[in-house]
Amino acid sequence: MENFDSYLAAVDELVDDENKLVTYKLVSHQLALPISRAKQVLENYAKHNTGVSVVHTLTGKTSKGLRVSLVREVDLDEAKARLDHVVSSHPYSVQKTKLKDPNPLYSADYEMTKTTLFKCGSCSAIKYSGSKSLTEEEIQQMKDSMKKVTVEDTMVTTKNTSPKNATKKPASQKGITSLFGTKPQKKTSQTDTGLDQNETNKKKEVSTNQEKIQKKTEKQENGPAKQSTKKPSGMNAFVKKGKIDPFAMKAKTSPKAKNSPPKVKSPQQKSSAPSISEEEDNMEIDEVDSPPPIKNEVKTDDLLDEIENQSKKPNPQKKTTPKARNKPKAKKPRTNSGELPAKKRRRIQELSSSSEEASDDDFNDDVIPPSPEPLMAKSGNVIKVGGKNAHKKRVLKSHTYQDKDGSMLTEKKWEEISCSSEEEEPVTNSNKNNGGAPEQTIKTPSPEVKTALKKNKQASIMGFFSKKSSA
Amino acid sequence: MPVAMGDDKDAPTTYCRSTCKIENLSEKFKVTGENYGKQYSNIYFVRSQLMKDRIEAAARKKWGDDVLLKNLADIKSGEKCCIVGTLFKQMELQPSILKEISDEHHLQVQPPRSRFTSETDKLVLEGALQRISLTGNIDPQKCFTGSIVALLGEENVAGQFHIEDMAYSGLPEQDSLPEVDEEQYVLFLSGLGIGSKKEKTFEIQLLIDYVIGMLGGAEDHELCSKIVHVVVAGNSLAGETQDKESQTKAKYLTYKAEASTVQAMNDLDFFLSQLVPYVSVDVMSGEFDPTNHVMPQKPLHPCMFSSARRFNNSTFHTVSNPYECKINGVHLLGTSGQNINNMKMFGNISDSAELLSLTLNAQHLAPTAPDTLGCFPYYKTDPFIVNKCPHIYFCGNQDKFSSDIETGENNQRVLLLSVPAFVKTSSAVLVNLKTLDCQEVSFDLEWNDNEMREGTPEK
Repeated sequence: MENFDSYLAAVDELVDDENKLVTYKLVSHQLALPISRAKQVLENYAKHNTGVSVVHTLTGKTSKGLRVSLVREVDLDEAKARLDHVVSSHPYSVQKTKLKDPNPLYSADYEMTKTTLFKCGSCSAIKYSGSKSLTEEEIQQMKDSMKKVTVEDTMVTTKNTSPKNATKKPASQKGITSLFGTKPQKKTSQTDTGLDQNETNKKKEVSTNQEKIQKKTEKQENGPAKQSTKKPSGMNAFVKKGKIDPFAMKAKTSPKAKNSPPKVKSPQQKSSAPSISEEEDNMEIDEVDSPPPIKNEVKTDDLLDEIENQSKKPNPQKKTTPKARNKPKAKKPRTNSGELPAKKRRRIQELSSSSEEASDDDFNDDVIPPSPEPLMAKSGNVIKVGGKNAHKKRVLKSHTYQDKDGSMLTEKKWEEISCSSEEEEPVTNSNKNNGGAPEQTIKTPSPEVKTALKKNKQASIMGFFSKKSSA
Repeated sequence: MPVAMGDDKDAPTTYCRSTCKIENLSEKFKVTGENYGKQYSNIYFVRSQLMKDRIEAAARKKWGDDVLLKNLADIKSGEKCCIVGTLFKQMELQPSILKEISDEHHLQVQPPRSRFTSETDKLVLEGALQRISLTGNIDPQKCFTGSIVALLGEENVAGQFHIEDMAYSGLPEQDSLPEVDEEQYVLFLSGLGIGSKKEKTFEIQLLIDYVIGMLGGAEDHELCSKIVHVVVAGNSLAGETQDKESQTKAKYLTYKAEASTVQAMNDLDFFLSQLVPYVSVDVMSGEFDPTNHVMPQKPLHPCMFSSARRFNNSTFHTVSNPYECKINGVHLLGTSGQNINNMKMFGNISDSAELLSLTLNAQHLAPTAPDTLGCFPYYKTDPFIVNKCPHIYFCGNQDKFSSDIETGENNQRVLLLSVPAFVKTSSAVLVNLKTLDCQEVSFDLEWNDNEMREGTPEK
C-alpha cells in the first residue's frame, strides 16, 4: 500500500500546504484515480487528520424517495438519522477551514470541470459507450462546407450583378491591404518625402507598373474562383477590423501620414505587392495582419458599404481619369484640409496611386493631390464607367429563412443593390464642381465627405428618436 | 452490470451503462411554413370532427347502444338524449384584451390573479351550428374550454340543457409494454432555471455527478448505470432571462448589452456537456427557453449549445414541446407543463396528476389551447389530439413531484408523472421503464447554520 501512502501525502500537500479545498473529484483528477479510490483516499486522510473539516456526501432513502445531500461532518449523524436507509456516505471534500456555505465547493471544481468537460466523468464508476462525439476533423469539414456554401452564394450575386466589379475588386482590395500592411513604412517615408517628390514619383511609376503587372498576373492565375473566395474574406476582414480596433488605427494614422500619402504609396506597394503575391494563398491572414484601411477613412462607420463603393470606384478610374485636373486641385486641399479631409485622404491615397498609374506623365502630384482626386475619380466613374457600377452598393443584408426543421435562421450576406437617388446626388454635384474652378472642387470633397458622415449620423440619431417614441 | 476488476480492495467495481433506442415520434409537432394568418375557429372545427367518432363511441359504451345521439339543433325540450360538442367555459375574470382596452378608460386596476375562476362561471356546449348553456350535474371548475364531451340529459323549459351524466373519450389504444429483462430507468428533469436568482447551480452539478457515476457509493453507481436516458422537460433557462427591459430602452444605451440568455445558455451548455458523453439526453423546449413561445414549441437550435452539440445526433438531442417518443419501446408523451399550468389557472384542480388524467381521458394534450394557451392556428389537423395512449404521460415544471397510475378499460396502464421544477425542489424523477415505478431523487445541501438562508426547498 505504498501507493496509498503516497496518495495520502499528495492530499496532505494539497490540503495543508496549498490550503486548498480538496474534493474527491480533484483527488481523482490529480492522481488519476478511479473515483471510488479517490473517495477512499480522502476518507483515510480524514481519519488520520482530525484537525481538518470534512464535508460528506450522503445518499439514502426517505419516504419521499432518494435523497442525495452534502453534509458537514458535525451534522452527519443527524442527517443519517433522518434517512430511512443510508445507501452510502463518503467524504466529498476535505479542507482546513470550516466552510460557512457550500458554494466554494462548487467553485473549487469549476475550473477543472471546465477544462476536462467531456472527460469529466472519465474516472467515474459508470462506463458508457453509446455516445459519439464529432471529431475535430469532422467539425472542420463541416465548417469548410459551410464556407463553401457562403462563398458560392457571394459568387453568384456578384457575377449576376456586375461582372466587372467581380474581377476588379480583388485587385482593389489587394491595393488597400497592401497599403495597410505597410503603414508603418509610410510614416517613416512620409517624414523623408517632402522634398524628393520627383524621385518618389518615379518610384511610384515603377511601383505602379509593377503593381499592374502583378495584378494582371494574379488575375490570370487566380481565375474568377479564387478571387471570389478572397472577396468574402476580405469583406469580413474589413468589417471586423472596423469594429475591432478603430483606435489602434487612429493611432497609426498620425497627422503626418495624412499629408504625404501618394509618396508613401509607392514604396509600400513595391514591398507589399510581392509579399501579397506570395501570400495569395493565405489572403485571410494577409488581411488580418494589415490594419483596416477603411477604418481611417470614415472612423467608426457602419458606412462600410459606402466605403466599399468608393474603393471600387477608384479602380476603374485608373484608366479613365484625366490627370490634369487632379493636380491643381490637389495642392489646395492640403492647405485647407482639416481633420475630416485628412481622414478621407487615407482612402484617397490608394486612389491617387491608381490614378498615377494611369498617367505616367504627371509628376506634379505632391502629397496633397490624393484628397481631391478620389472624389474626381468617383464622379468620373459615375459618368464614364457606366451607371451600373456607380449606382451599385454592396450592403450587408441579413436574410431570414427557415431550415428544414422549421427553425428560423438568419444569415448575413453581402448583396449589391442600386443606390438610392439621394446618394447619387452628391456625386453628380461633385462632378459639376469638378468641371468648374479647381477651388470649388477642393471644397466639394470635404462637404461631400461631411454630408456622407452627416447622413449616417443623422440616420442613427433618427433611429434613436423613433425607437424612443415607439417605446 | 458490475464488472469486476482485480481483487476487491484495489479494484473498484465499474458499471456499464447500456444504450437505448430512441424513436422520436414528434414529427406531428413540427410546424413548417407557418401561416399565422388563419383564424383559430378552424382548430375547434377540426378537433370536433376528428374526435366525433371517438366521443360517440365512448357515449355508446357508457350509456348503451340505444342512447339517443342527437345534433344540437334537433333536440326537443323534455326529451332525454345525448349531445356531443365542445365545451366552452364563460369566465367573468378571463383576461381579455378587449376588456383591457375598454377598462383603460375607467382605470380599474385588476389585481394579479393566480386563478381566473369565479362563482359565476358558466358552461356552454358548442355544436357545429349552435350552442346551448348547461346546468345540472356538472362542476364548471372541473371542466375546461376546448374539451370534446358527450352529455346525457334533456333540455329544460328555460332552454338550458340539464345534464345527468357526462363522458370523455377515455384512454386511447395502447401498445403493450415491451418485455425487458433488465431494469432500465429514465430520468426526468425540468425547470433547471439557469439564470434565475434562485438558480441551484451546485445542486445541478451534484445531479450531474450523481448521474454520471461520480457521487455516491457502489449502490448508487449501480442504480445510475441503469439510467439509459435523461429527459429535460423545458425551462432550462429561467424566466428572468427573458429580459424585456432592453426593448424599452434607447438603443444606444443597450447596444453593448448582452442578452442574459446568452450567459444562461452557456451555463446550460456547460452542464449538458458534462452529461452527454455519458448518457443520452433530450432537451425539450419550455416556456422560457429561447425558441418560439406558442405551442407547439420548436426544438432549441443545436447551434446554441457550442460544445454539447458535438454529441448532436448521438446522445444529445433538442426536441419539441410537446414531445413524444419511444425509448426501448416504452411510449413517452409529455409537455414542458404549459398545458397543465394553464389549466390550473382556469379551473380549481390543482393536482397535476389529476389534470394529466383529465387531459388524457379527453384525448387532448391541451384543451385550453387556443383559448387561453397560445398555439399555432392549425386548420387541417390538431396535433394535440392523443391518438395512442402512452405508457408514461408527463408534464414538466410543476410545483412538486406527484405521480399516479391510470388504468383504462382495455388494459391500458399509464404512468401520470408531474415532474417538479428543479429550481423549486432541486429534485428529479427516476422512472423504471420495466415496472413504471417512479421515485423522486432530491439533491440538497444541508448546511444547518445557513438553513434559514439556504432553506431546504421543501420547507
